[in-house]
Amino acid sequence: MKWYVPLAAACVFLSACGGPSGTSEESEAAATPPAEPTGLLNVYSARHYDSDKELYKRFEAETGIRVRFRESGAAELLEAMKAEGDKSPADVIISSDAGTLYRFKAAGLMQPIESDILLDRIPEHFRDPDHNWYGLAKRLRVIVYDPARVEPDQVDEYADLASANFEGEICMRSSTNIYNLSLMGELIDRLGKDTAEAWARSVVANFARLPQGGDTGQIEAIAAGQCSAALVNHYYWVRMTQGSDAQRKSVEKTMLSFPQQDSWGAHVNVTGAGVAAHAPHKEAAIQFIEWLATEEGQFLLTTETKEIPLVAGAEMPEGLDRLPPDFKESVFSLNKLGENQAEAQAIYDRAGWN
Amino acid sequence: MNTYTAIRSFRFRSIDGPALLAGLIIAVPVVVTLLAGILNGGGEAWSHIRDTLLTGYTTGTLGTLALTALMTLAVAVPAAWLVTMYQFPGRGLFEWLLILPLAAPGYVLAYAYADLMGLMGPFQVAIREATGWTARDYWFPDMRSLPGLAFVLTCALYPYVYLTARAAFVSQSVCALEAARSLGASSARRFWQVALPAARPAIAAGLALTLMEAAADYGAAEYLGVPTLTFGIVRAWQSFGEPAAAARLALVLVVIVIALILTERHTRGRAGSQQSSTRWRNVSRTRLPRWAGLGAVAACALLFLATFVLPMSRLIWLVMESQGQIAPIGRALVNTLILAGSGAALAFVLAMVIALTARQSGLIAGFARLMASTGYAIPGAVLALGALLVMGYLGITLTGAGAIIALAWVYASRFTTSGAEPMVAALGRAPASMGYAAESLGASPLRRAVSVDLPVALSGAMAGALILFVESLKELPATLMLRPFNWDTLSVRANAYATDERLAAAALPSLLITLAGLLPVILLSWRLSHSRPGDTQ
Amino acid sequence: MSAHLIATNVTRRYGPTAVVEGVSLDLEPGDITALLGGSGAGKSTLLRLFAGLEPLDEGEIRLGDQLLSRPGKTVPAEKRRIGLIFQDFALFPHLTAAQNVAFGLKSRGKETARTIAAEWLERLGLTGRADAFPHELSGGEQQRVAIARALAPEPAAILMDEPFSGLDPALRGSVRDTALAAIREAGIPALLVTHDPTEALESADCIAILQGGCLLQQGKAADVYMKPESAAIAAALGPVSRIRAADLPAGLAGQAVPAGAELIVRPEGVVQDEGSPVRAKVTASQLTGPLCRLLLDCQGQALTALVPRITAPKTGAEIGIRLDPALTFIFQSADS
Repeated sequence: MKWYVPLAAACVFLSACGGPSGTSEESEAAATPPAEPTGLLNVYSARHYDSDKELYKRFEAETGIRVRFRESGAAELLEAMKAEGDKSPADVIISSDAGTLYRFKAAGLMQPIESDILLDRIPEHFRDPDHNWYGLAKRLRVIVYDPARVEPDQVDEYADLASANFEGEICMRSSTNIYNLSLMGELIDRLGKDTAEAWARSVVANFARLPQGGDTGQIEAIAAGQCSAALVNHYYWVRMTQGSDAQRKSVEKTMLSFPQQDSWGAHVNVTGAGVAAHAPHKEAAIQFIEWLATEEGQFLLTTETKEIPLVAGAEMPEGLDRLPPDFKESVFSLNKLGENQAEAQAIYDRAGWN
Repeated sequence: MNTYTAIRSFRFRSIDGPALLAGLIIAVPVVVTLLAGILNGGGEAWSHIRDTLLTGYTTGTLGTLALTALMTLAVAVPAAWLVTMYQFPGRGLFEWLLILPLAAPGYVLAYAYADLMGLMGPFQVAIREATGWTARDYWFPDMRSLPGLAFVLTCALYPYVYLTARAAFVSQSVCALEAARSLGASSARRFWQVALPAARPAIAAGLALTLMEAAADYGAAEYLGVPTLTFGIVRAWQSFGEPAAAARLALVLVVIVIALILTERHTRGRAGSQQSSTRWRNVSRTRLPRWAGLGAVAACALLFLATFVLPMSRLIWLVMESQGQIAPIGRALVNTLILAGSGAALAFVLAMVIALTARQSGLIAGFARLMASTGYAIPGAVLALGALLVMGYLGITLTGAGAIIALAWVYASRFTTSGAEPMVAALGRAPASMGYAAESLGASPLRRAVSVDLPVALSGAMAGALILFVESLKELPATLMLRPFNWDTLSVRANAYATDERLAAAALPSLLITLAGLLPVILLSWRLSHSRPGDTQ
Repeated sequence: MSAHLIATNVTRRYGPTAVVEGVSLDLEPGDITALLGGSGAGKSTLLRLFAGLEPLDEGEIRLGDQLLSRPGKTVPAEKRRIGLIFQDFALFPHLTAAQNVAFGLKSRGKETARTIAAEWLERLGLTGRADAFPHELSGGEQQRVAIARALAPEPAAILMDEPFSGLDPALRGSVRDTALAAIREAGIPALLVTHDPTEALESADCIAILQGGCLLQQGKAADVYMKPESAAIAAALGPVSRIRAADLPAGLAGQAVPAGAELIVRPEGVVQDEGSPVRAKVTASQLTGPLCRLLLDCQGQALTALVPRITAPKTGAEIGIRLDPALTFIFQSADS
């Protein structure tokens, strides 16, 4: 028995490190491009999904444009691009948050692009009015709750989370998380700063535990009975329904509520892309973003993440049928998420939401 | 030093040029960051941070340091005393096993422990399944808390104190302990009033090292959600996009670190530490009676299990459970080797220069050494900020070679002092008279350094190089901020996967980092078991 | 009155080898007993057995009526009230001189302890050094602090392990005199472990000679020096010339030496006497302070003599010699 564990571990190490050369991963999307690459594309992405590597590979295979990519936190990419200035190799910037896309734009790191394809396919409120960035997939920040302890009508508004009924019942992830910041960005706009801050303070007063973990962690906390409501992006919940046994067991103890159905609609955010201000390969960059708006691009973009495609008629990722067939989402100028980001953070900080 | 010798030693000597250059290279990132912090005002973000977050960050850091210090002392000093003074089954094995936790960086233990002790970890799940309770029906220690962070950092860093305390106990005057016995002191009084005070400076030095590392931690604090100054620095830069505000926070952190160093200096005081002994006798270990011996075995085993075996087996289990479904990390491995390798190479050259000046007297050499020691207490994030600013002023883009240089620079700035240490130690083993002999034969300081000291220092070079490489490889925040286009390292991957709630994917790079970390630790324990007290000065 | 510290038939083994074997030793109060022997003779082990730092395998150790050690039972060192003084002083580096001295006075209360410590420092000429830390003291001062520390709690006995050999030779004499005076005054049994016969003779009232773990002879210093019980003992207490009966120059002995016996003479027992018929040639003449050491060749037999410098002959001279019977010993040769 004793020899078994280290041996097995060593085998896993070897198989993972050595790996078959075909599964080259981070850097070059394809180990052997099908043809002599006809171009180059540098992608700065704030997303990190293995499916994105597949996506780059497919784009390479179809266009012959070699994709090099850098995945990092949005803020790091932003700082790096500022440091790189006009020598930046970045062509395309991808971020899973509209507020962040706005920050790239505001920092002068993006340029407007004219693309009839994109204008045609992407709904107006999911793209920058100045054409700097285009949303490609959307996600909703909704309430997850314990149906054993909470009635659906107790969680049909974000404001419900601030209700005194939920004292010691709320789990949240850190306020530095971009999803929480963007939600606050919208609340500031909808409710005004003071009401938004009062909301945050009341939610903090309802915390069952200090903010911690990710969205999955909040769902698990509810399933384990530590609290009875939390905010999560819909796709974390969907992914858990297709996850490990333990995850499926947890997620089935919870339900999602899409808030504000009788008012402005559930908070929505996008994964989007824009062309870097000093893109050395601007044509390829536009071509890539347009390709992401094709059925194939949309599928590859969302199949693993369980985000919702933006382009009409695109195939829905598996598992989204667990969401309500029909829901109201907020129509809102997404650039405001970026404009309000600093204020949102300041409000959370003042409210003591770590 | 009187005026005459001061003036005399202010002569510029041949070795001073390289030394000064090395010191500058190391000190610039810190200095630039601090200057930016003082001069740039901090921006709008600073007034917000100052008003709402600074107190939390400062109490977070101070609380973590205080609790880590307490836990480390409570664990490391008794452990060192036990393995030095008593004989019990497995003592020799535990003596070096207890060093191993040094191999794993704090953030790796944070991933493992947050998972193990978390709501969905095996313990809590077992409790709920066995009792039918929900999470609110029972109390369970929360890793994602300040005590949790202190616990994880203690696990990762207590060996520093264990090592220095053990060395002090091993080299203490056995006669002093026997004299204390003859004066009627009980074993408890001998520990508290003779051995412990005599070892106090050594313990304080180890503790200072532990706390500097704890203050520099970013990964564990971030993952466990404890606001600390280092976390705040990275956040000020990332969320607020305000390097100036980050630099302001760096100022506060540096003040705390300086206070730590001064406290450590102060504990040395006037009182001597080690008696210069003319005769050495090995500590004669008291054989523990049966039950006490089993207790000692249990205590050591528990410590080793808790700080190393348990978290590492959890990570191994995560890797195995994922059955090859883990994201491959071959490329990250190559990147790590290249980045840590180039950082270690630069640091190695600097460490060599610094080690060679360690034997040189004089103001300039002393100043160079002072500058060289600055980076080592400073979090990587702060140094990265400085490097970023400098590269910006110089108009060098942080891509490709530029980024590698910047990152190597930060690694060198942070780790040169640790890498120079074994070389200085090697030099210390050679009699100083060798150098004097060379100088009396008319060798210039530079020639003396190259022809006499260098070959001696090289005997410590392998250990130095290994330490530099592994420390660079474990480094997280600076690597996160500076790594070039397309260059994820193991630590960056581990962090990205972990914060992305993909712990199984984070486990493999975490294990590899720990595996690499084991190399210098094993080398260290080998050196320990082959050196006798009295060998070193 | 203080009790005797008595070892009876004490044996200590490390594995199969006996380091101390069947040693019986009676330490009288008020006397300083030197335990003399070369390295590996078992001196330190015997001291540690007395101190209670090691268990013994056979025999017993008593302090007056009180049993301290027997096989399977050892009163621990901290309960014996036996003071220890080491070669490396073993001061507590983090305590001042006064605090070191007061260490063993814990039961006496702080104020009393401080007063007693001050008195002891004064007695040993350390007034004014009370607040110095050990590393700020000279070697001689450190050893005097160690002695004060050992004596301050009024121990029942005191054991010294090469206490003066760590000191500068120039200091040694004066430190030793101060220290031993204080110890004699305490009127307790005292054991001085040393490898230096001169020190043993100069300092001790009694001498016990240990060789290979066995006690060869114990007695008053003068007795042991003047009446050694064996050639080995005679040699242990200082340089001697050893001459086998067969090699004995004619007329030198002045008494009958049985065949197979060995004649042993101390250098000062070889007396220059021009009236003597026995002649010897001076092969070397070495000045050793007030005395001169002569290396002599007497009918092919080498001899060493110590003579006053003023009358010392030159190298190459031929002189008459005779032996002083009081310093000449005849033993049956061990190897015969």
